[in-house]
Amino acid sequence: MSSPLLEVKDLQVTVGEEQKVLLNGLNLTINAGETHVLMGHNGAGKSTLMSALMGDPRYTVTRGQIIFNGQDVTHEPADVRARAGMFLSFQTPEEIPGITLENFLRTAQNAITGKPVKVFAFRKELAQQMEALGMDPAYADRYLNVGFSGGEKKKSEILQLLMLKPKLALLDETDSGLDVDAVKTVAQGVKAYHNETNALIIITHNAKILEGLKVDYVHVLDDAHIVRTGGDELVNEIIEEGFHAVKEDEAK
Amino acid sequence: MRAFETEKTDVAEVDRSIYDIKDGENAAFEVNSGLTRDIVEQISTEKHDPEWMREFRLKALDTYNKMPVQNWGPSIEGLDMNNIVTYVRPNTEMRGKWDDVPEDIKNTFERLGIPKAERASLAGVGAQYDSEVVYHNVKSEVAEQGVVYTDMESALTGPYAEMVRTHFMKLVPPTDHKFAALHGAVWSGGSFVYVPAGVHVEIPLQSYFRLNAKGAGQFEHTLIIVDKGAYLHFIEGCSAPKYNVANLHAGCVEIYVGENARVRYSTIENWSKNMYNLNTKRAKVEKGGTIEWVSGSFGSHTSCLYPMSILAGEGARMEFTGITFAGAGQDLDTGAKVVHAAPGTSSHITTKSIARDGGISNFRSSVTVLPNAKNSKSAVSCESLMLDDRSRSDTIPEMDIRCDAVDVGHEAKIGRISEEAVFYLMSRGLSEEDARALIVGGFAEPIAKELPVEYAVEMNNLIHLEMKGSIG
Amino acid sequence: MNDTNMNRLPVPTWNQCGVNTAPAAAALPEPAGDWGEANFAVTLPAGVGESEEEFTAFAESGMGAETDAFVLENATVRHALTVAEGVTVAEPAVFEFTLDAAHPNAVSVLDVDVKANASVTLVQVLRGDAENGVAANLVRIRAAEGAHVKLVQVQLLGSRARRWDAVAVEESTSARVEQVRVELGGSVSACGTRALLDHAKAEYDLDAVYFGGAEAVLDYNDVSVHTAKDTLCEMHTAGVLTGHASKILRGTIDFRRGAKRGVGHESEDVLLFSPNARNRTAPLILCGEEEVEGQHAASIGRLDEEKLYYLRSRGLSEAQARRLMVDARFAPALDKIPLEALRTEVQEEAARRLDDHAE
Repeated sequence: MSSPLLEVKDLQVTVGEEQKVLLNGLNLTINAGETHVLMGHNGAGKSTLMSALMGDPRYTVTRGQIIFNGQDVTHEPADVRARAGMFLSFQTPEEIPGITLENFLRTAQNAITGKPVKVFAFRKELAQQMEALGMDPAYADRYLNVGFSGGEKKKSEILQLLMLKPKLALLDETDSGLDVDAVKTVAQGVKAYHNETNALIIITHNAKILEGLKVDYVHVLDDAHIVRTGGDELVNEIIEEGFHAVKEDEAK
Repeated sequence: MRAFETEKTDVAEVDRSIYDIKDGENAAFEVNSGLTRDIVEQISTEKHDPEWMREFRLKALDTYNKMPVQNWGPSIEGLDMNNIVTYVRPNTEMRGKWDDVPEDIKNTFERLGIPKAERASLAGVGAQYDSEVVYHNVKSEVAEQGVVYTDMESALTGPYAEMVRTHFMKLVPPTDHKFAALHGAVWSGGSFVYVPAGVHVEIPLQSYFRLNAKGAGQFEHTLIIVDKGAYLHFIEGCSAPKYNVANLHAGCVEIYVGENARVRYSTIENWSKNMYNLNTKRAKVEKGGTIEWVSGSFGSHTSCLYPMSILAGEGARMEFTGITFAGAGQDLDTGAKVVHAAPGTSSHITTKSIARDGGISNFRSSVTVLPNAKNSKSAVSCESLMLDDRSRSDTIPEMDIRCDAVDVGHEAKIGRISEEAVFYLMSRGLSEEDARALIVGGFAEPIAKELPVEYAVEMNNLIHLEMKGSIG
Repeated sequence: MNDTNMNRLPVPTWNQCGVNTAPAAAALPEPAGDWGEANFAVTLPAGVGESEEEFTAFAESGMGAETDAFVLENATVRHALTVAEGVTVAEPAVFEFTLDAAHPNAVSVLDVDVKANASVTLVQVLRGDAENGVAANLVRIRAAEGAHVKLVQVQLLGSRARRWDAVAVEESTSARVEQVRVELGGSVSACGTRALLDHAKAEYDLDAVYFGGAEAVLDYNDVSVHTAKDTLCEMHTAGVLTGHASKILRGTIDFRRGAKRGVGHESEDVLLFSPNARNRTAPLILCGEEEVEGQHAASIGRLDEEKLYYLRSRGLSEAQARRLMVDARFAPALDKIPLEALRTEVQEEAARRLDDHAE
């Protein structure tokens, strides 16, 4: 049996000089081909987990390990994790003036693959992916996320996902702030990305983005760790009955 | 961004070492250090000045001797005027053909890509090596349009002598400041450009200044007269190899923009880091005319550079776009000045300052709206980026508004690279160094895109060169 | 022309601009042998104590050490006050000066020592119009840890008297000093505040308004010096110039190395109602620290014609519309005047002066 893609062992994460604990004793294992969904009320630590997995310098791992593809990345900077095959779709993507989306993608692809980007093929793929996501091709020449609407920023994240083809995609509320059609487009993009060789962790508050995906595991995060893990039936249970019901279940 | 592309562009990688190659000093003639009446007279005799110029020089010398050094701005204490060789003429006569230029000088310019650039896209190149113009050429089709591009010495006695006499240091009088007076006394070399009415010079004219002798001064004078409805893009590039003693550049640029004419003046300054760059640039713009300054300051030990625009005619416009990047040991004080002296004039100043590794990058500006300049507009926007806490960046703007029917706005911002943005880029696989360089490049991009492409590439390379090793 | 040593720009610029120091027209008066008695009234609420002695050493004001020394030497009215630790003084301490024919001069010093976690509001009002009257004032505020001091200065002089107002502020950790400055008259109105924020989380706020008409000379120099972490300043000025008034505003945010996470915002909004008025603005941001956020914005010009038209289309006269738009600009400062009667007086004075000077 092959080793897991991601193993999170007894993770403790703190923030700030006061070392406020945001995650504690968290364990998580993800294999290639799987789709995991993270749920939990606001402030439960879902986004913190995503950021900590990606190596956000605001957070400090004070205990535990993050093993990705057999490599201990617990204390590696974000670029090492990205080159190893991790990708985070940000809840609020940064605006970077002066760098066009296309040039940025080419730079990132080059950084990740370590190989020169074949310009013609790259441009062709970029045009196709943008069309699939319903993005105006003019956005390729606009500065990275600068002045993009909320929906366009999220599409830009998914475009990056599709172009960079990571092994593990962390989607942090990629569907929030989108209208129904945009969620559908984004969901199609995620579906197009996913295959047996890669894996997804998705934070969502509604099930729309999961349409067409086979959800393998649902984790409920509360009080700084995972309080319950189940199958995709949990998604609807939570959406319909709220977290209390789920937590009560756990208490039984 | 371009520097990140893996495909090779045909622009050679620019490396600091290119600029640092020194040619063996082989000057034919050097005056004594320091400045006396004798020296100025000697210069005048050597240059075969007309009588008025000889008098002009001596009067400027008097002004120079009487004037105090400025009491504001960067310190120029490292500059000992008594030890500066004010005049160095390399051992060559002016040449019209590239092949005739001596080998060592030619090598320098070859390394800098000058003739290549000329072949590619420039209408004419004037190259100044120390104090003399060694190479001057205007493409024949441009010359056929009546465009004059020649060295100042020839212009003084040639068919345009009268035009030179009536314009020379009329915009920047020697009484303007001490180094303008010095310039008036010892100026040497430089270019004269005349574009006749209605002529559009489609491809840029370029001059390249290079200072080779150590402890020398360069005092070139650039006089540009663009007649009614004409258009010119003039590009100036400056560099010098590194010596341990201070060098001085006190050039002067005067630009006369005729009615409805447009002039774009682009500069990339990359003097070596022992240079005191005390340059004065000024334009006077007539009715409906436009002056556009694009300015990149990267080199020099100390810079005081504030191109000034006098909007003298109704509806005259100025645009200034500048970037200044100061690293270790540098004190770069740059900006712009504008005087609105006619109704309906407009000015737009946009600058970016970057300071790192103990460098000082200051922005200084002055906007004056005179009482008759009704319905004028001015907008100033300056942004500073601090790359560490050992550097400095001061923003020192001034506005003097003496007319009520105006619209004057000013915005200044200072900050540092957003750590969130660095993380975002790193999460896409970029190293921290590349992420920071990319952000700084992006910060500079609005200026870079105003530059001629080969200069934009050079600027990007310089930024990357400057950012190397800036982490940790 | 600029031969004073007053209101010095912290970093000088071109001398031709004339902003490096206050002009000779705003120079301090010759020291009079006898300043005569000042006409003033003081209301001290419970909680404000009188201190035994004045400060011995204190940071300079925005006008500079020379001006501070002049006022200290010549003062005829002196108050040294203190507020004890933890005391919140509910009512403002009020100092009212009037320059009249019998009392044309008032040279005054106010020292305020506010102890930890105490809070107090100080109101200074200056009225009158004595020919050649002189009002010179120095306020020194020391705000200890967590203290909150509000200084409200209202100047309603006529056009014949001159006024100088120097303020120096020293703050401890988490202290906050708010200043409201309303300058509506005087043939000379010269003011300068310098706040020294050398303890973490210290904050200085200034809301200033001015009105300059006739031949008035207005000269201001406000400086916020940040040397400690998490310090904050908000300096906002709005003004109206008419007649042949000439004004210089220097506003400086000075981030020194160590002022990590320092934040400073500065703005000026100037309305010009006369082709003969002259406005000079020199807004400086000095920065020797990487991790700061500094911003400045200035807007100088006439009233927005479109807005004016919009208001007139709703039935307002030009004067009413103009007043409305000046009111809107003055409101942030005037709303902070704690005494309702004084606030109304200032609003009415501002409106009256605006109408009087309308051309």
